[in-house]
Amino acid sequence: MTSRREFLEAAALTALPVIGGAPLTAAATSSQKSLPANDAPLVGAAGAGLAFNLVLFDSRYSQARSAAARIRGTGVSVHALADGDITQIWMDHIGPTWQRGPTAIAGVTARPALFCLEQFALSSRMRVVFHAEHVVHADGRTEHSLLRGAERLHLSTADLSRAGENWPTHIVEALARYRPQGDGARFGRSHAALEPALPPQAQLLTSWIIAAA
Amino acid sequence: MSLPPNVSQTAFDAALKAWREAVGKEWVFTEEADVALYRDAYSPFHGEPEERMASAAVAPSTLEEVQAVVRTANQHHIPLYPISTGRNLAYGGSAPVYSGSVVLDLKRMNRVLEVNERNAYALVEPGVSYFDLYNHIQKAGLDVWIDPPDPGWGSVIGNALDGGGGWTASPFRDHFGSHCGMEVVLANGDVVRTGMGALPNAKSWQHNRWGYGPWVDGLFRQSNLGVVTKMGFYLMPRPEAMQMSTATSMRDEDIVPMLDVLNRLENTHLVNGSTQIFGGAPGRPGGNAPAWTIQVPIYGPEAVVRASMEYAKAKFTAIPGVKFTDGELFRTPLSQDALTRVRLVNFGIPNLSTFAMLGRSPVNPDPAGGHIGFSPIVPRTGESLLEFRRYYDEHVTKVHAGDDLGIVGPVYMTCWDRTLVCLIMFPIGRDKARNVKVRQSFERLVKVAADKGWAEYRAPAGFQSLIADTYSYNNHSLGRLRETIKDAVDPNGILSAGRYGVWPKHLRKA
Repeated sequence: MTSRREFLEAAALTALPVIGGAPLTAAATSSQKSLPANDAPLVGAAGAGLAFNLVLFDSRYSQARSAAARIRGTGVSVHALADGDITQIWMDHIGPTWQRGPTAIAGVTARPALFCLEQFALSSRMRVVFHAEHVVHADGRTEHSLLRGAERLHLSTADLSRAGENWPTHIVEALARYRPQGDGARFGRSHAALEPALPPQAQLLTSWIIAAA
Repeated sequence: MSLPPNVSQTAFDAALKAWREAVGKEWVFTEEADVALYRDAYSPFHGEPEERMASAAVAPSTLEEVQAVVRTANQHHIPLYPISTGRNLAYGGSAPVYSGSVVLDLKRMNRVLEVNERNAYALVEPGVSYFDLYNHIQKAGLDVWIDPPDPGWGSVIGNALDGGGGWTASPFRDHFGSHCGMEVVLANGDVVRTGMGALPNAKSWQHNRWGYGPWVDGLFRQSNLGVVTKMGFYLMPRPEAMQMSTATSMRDEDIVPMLDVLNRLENTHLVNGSTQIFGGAPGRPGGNAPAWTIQVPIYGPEAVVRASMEYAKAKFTAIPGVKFTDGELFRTPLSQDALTRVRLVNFGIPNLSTFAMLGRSPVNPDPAGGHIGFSPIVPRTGESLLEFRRYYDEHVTKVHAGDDLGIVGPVYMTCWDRTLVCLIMFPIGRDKARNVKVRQSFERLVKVAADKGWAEYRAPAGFQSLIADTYSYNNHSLGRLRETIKDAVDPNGILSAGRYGVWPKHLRKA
């Protein structure tokens, strides 16, 4: 049985195993039309590769599809959640991978997907290290709240507001800047369990990173 | 690091030292960031002083380690709160009922000890989830089904001990009712095996639950008398087929004869699946929508299912105005195509799809989100159902008091025969003021229901004493009996203080 220390030390090596993610779904592929203006190659902090190997996106939302389109071509597996349910990707990929050790993943999804994954992550010595919420109003306007870890990604709500409808692109570029750091704050549960008060007709999207912490 | 209530720093330090020696220092959690993980994700007291919090957590991986942890707690009078996987969401999760307790986290005890295909049973540890047991059976290619609840990430043992139910055939969907044998660590560290398991080298522990002499297993259901470290369960041999048809009626009053028919079919074991009853909700659609829809699920050999369904159809359509619609018959194992068209839990397949429905989405604009449940048990008759609906219409409207609290319900389920589980969901969110109103509504509905003779079968941690108090026949004689047993079996009151309303002597109100 792996000890907690071995578990954490393995994570610190950050030699992240590749997860065989499902191919981009039809929904995601069709979203290539919404590629943002900035389609320069996406790279991690200081030009390094990305610190995660799997990105989940909720294909019911155009904003999440745009985010997925931005991350294509980076070598990261991108998996669509067609109905917001994580069961299959958990059973097929994430669960078996996390049994071997912590592996960072990211996403632009509805709140429940993050909530479910966080529950599993907590049992695998992983935490939500970045969490933002995006309230998309009926008129298309989006309000952003950065709840955790934004400073590590050099991200502000002002940046996101300035990005306008291209905020999903901006979020993905911020996610790409994430690097594991051993001296970071250790987090408790995120706010993903409970819904914030939402205006009628508004939709809630979340962007997040789960990693060893 | 916070201290458990009424425990000195010296005593707590001594206990922590002993626990670290027993389970390894990496499995004793005292740092705030770690202990905070045991908060109840759906706490109705979220972020308020009354929110139940742990003071520390300890995670043993063997029976012997559990014994050592419990003995130390007993020696120093430290309150423990055992959890299995801690995913009992809507009913308290991993947070203790008595704030400041040390969580005894059993999720490292996650071994599937045996799955016996020939006699269709399993023996598991408390950290085994429905996903784990399902995967084990799939990998081994065994021809048996589990009975997962919604959702499937919880502990098989934890769900049974909490009184949970599932969605396949009777009797398997009554999770405590389908258990067979337990291993329990008592507050003094002693180990008990129940039923045939009390026989050294027992050969029939998971074959016969009764054993010899007084049966004690029920003492450990929704209880605080011991730490269950192993438990056996009956599994369902994979049925050849399943068909779920529906009976509908446009007339409200038809629910009376319709439930009489369903009861007869179910009490004769002809209809054996888990029924849901739709309709009768406030704001129910008029027009062409049926007043009531009853699911009629049958599992078994295909020929038997077809014949039984014909019989059921004849009985339902004998009621004037009732329409019977044959559902698709599914042969098992399900094809890939069929998997996309069924409710997976009806076929013993665990999943988390419930959660996707609990968040707002374009097709679900007003979900419950985080929630707690009030589920009175009501006799399964049409008259009782109509009475319950009147209660719901009248009192849920009243408790809203001009606010839309987003209460969702009622949902009528038939986990156990002869009764209906009438689920009402109370949403919990980040808005504390709204949560206060939701709690007040919950309490009011519990009291009004009790006046009508209905009570909850299971409760969120913060309301377990409230519900227990409604079981007040003869000046709370049942509660007093439970307290007498508690004082005898756990005289220092270290295990799960307050769980399901049973408090140890030193914490009871005069």
